[in-house]
Amino acid sequence: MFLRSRSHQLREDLALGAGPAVEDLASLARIPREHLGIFGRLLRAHRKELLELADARTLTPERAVKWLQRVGEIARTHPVLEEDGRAFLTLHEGGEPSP
Amino acid sequence: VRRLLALMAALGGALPVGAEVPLAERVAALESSYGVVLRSPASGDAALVTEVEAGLAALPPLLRRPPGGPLELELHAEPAPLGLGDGSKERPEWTEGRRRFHLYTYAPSEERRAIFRLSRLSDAEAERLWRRRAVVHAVMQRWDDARGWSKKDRWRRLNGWLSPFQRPLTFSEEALLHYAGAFSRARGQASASLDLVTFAEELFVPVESLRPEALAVDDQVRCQEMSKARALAELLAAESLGHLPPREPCPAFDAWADVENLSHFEVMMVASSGRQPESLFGHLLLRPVWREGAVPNGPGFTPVVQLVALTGLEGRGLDYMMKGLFGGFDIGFLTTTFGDMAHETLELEQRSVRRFRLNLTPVEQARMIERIWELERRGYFAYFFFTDNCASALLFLVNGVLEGEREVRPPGQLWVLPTAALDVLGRAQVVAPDGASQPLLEYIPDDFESTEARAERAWMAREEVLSELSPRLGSEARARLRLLHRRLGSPQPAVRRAAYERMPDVITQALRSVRPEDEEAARALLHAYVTWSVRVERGAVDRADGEKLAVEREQLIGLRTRLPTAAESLRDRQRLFEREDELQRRVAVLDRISLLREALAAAPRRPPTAKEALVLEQAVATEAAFVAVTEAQGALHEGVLASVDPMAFLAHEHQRKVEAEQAWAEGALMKSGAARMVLGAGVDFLAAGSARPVVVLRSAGLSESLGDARLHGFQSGSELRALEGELSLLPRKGLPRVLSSRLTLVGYRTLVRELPLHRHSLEDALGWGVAAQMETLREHAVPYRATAQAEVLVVVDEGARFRRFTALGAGAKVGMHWGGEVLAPVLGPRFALTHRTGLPGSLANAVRLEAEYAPFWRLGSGITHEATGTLQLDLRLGQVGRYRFLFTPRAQARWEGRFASRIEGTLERRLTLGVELH
Repeated sequence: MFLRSRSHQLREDLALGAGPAVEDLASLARIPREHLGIFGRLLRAHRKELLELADARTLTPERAVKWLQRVGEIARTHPVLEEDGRAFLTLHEGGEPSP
Repeated sequence: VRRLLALMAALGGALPVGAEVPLAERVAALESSYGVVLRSPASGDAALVTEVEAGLAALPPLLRRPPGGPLELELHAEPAPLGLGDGSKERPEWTEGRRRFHLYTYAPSEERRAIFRLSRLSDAEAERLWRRRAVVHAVMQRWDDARGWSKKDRWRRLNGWLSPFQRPLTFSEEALLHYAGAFSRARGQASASLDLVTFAEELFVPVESLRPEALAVDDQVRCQEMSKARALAELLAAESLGHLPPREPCPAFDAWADVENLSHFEVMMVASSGRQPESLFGHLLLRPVWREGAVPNGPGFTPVVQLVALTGLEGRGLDYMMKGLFGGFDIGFLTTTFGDMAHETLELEQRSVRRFRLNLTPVEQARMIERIWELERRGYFAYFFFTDNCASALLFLVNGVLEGEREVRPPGQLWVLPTAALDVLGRAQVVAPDGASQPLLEYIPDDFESTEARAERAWMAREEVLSELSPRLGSEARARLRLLHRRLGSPQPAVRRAAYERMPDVITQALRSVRPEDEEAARALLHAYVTWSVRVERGAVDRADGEKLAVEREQLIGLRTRLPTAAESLRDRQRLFEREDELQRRVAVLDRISLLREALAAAPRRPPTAKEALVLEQAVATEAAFVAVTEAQGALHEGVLASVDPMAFLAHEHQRKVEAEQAWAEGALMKSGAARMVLGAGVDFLAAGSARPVVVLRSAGLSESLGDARLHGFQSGSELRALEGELSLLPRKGLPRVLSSRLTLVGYRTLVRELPLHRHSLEDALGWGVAAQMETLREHAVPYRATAQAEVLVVVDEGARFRRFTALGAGAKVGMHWGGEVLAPVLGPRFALTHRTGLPGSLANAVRLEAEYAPFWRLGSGITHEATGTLQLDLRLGQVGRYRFLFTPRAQARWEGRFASRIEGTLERRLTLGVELH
């Protein structure tokens, strides 16, 4: 539902690397506010892949899950965000980081 | 003493009742200790006696002896659902006043609300449950009779109990909430007292008291009816009759409410929209706001409370309108996400949202979040467009949580306007944490803009950026940028798309053409230029998406595809919310736009008409242009704009927006244009040369003029008048004489025009207006007039938010004139000039000029020429308490005449000074 209803906002924010859709994704991925800039730049760099995967014409629930997983994978490519994920899981769950 | 001790121990749960004490002694103990008298055959029924004892034990100790003397329980052999009376003569609950309470042989009930949480109980357990509840019912009824708890606002506000004649057409006590699920059982719908008593049955003898695993924690009454439980606990505590234990954790509610981090609530006013008549007067929403921790809250996922008529997917037509006017729909409390609200309101409907903070105490905030949880599940009442709408639902919600005896009264009995509801909330004063007095409602200078409103700002900002950039660029780069700029303003999306594809090259070349010392400043300006372009295109694509959705909806309805009616959708929703686990599974389908899109995707459609096909093509082309501009921006951020910090840019831009809105708010009037009253006095200068005094009374159900700046009102570019009247009186000894009167039933004018991007024809560049009014001119030969007029408006000059503007109007006027043995239709053209100049100080201070020339042809009378002019000064001066004065000196002239061999006419002039309190 998020990917369908926020598709324009997502496209706008991925082009800029910041905005409310990026904040939404950061909240899902448990990324602290001070690292939003890093997260936004990463998403912007992968925007074509992410927007293609989120294309409303081919979107299915499975594809949406895959999309969120991919956001998590992208976040983990940066050491700072990877560390955020580990810190969060250590604090709350105890397990492998996921978006 | 032994009997008494045995009973006391049993009531305390320490002993298995009936094990050692003879039945007769237990019955006697009930009478001696609690005044509960069991008549034969009840007194001989050991199982019943045990449940009576258990029912009393469920009550707080001080409640177990009911006031009002002995309470007799009589058991009847004939069966009744739940073993209880229904208030009828055949099966009374009480006789001899409230002395004798009647029990019947237990029979299962078909009443859904009473039994749906009992499904895991055996028949025997259910019978025991209802016997205990019967005892609680009888005892609590006595207490309520004696203490009048159900008469207190604290209780009555929860289900909206109305006393006879409290509102027009309310002749007996009735509750606003009419859904059976909002009551513990159907009998509770009969009166506020029975509502309280039946709720006490469920609270003191919950399902889980018979068997703990019989009901999931989140479905238990303590997790479902927090407000009623709280109210009853407060009523008992206030009379020192016992302290109910605090609520134990409710996992689903606690996780959702996150009360510890709850910051405040916002009331949101969605701007009026001329696209649908039902949205002409605006709309109200509520939004809880939580404090943010280290991780962003995710603005799109935070909840928003929609107070809406549940119309399902019913098509707009006469039937829809009649249902909306006369209670054919229900109003409900829906929590959706902010993202869904933004998509529907800011993007598809293109309506901006003004925000206000509700200054509630921490306790009131906790109550509010509980009420939202409850009302989403059970809060349904009949929707009437004028009286029981989003505004009255908001006041109902707020009044249910206010502490003490505070209450925000509705702004009217016959019409509850959203903007007027903001006025009454703004007038209510509350105590701030520092002890000072503050309004319950405060404006937040940070509107949620529709993407088109944001595009308009971006459009102007882009022009400014271009002006700043030009002197810094080399001549060739400047020329290329200007060419690009021209193409970006094209109404054709394909032209804009092609321009966006060239944008990275043009921007890169532009940056390379500046002097090294100017490079950073130029980079920032070029980044802004690109970002504003994205926003302009975003407004266009969202608007096109909304138009596309409307077309697809029309195609679907054109086929008469079976869609669920509003009533069917409502029943589905009520069933869905009966069980928390079911709700959690299906929460994803509660979004209305998604429902519509799902229905559209699955249903066959008729082919589009030629006009519809154009809309669909335009949507596809606009989407392509939006994709192109975002790709251009992304590419530039990988290139020459890589060093720009987008978050710093957004933060700076947001700060500028907030500062501008703060500055506007400081000069604006707080009050909306609802319920206005102006009293004026002055002089009429008559045609004969004499003069006479005149008193003028102006009032309006709603009156907001072009250029008005009102925190609780509509946008400055639109004018809305409803039931606006003016009465001119000649003061004299005895009753004053009526000189003239005018009543505008409804009038609307707008100067808001399309951006150049959306101007496909002349009409897109024009404003427009309509009005219907009645007029009485007592001193004219044909004194009575009823007319309707329509006009197009050309704005020849305008300032920010229409504080200054000049508009010319051209249109037509038709109607009837009668009186003096004449009854004739009239028609004619109408030409108008409207001007406003803002004056220093308050934004309310202005000079206004309205001039009209409207010759008309009247059957049997030929052509009459009529011209009127009004020059008015609005001055906000002085303050008494919290009221401010608005002075309105006004000069008016009216000329009416005919062109024969010479011009014959009369000129009336008037000077008045009006005073209005805000």
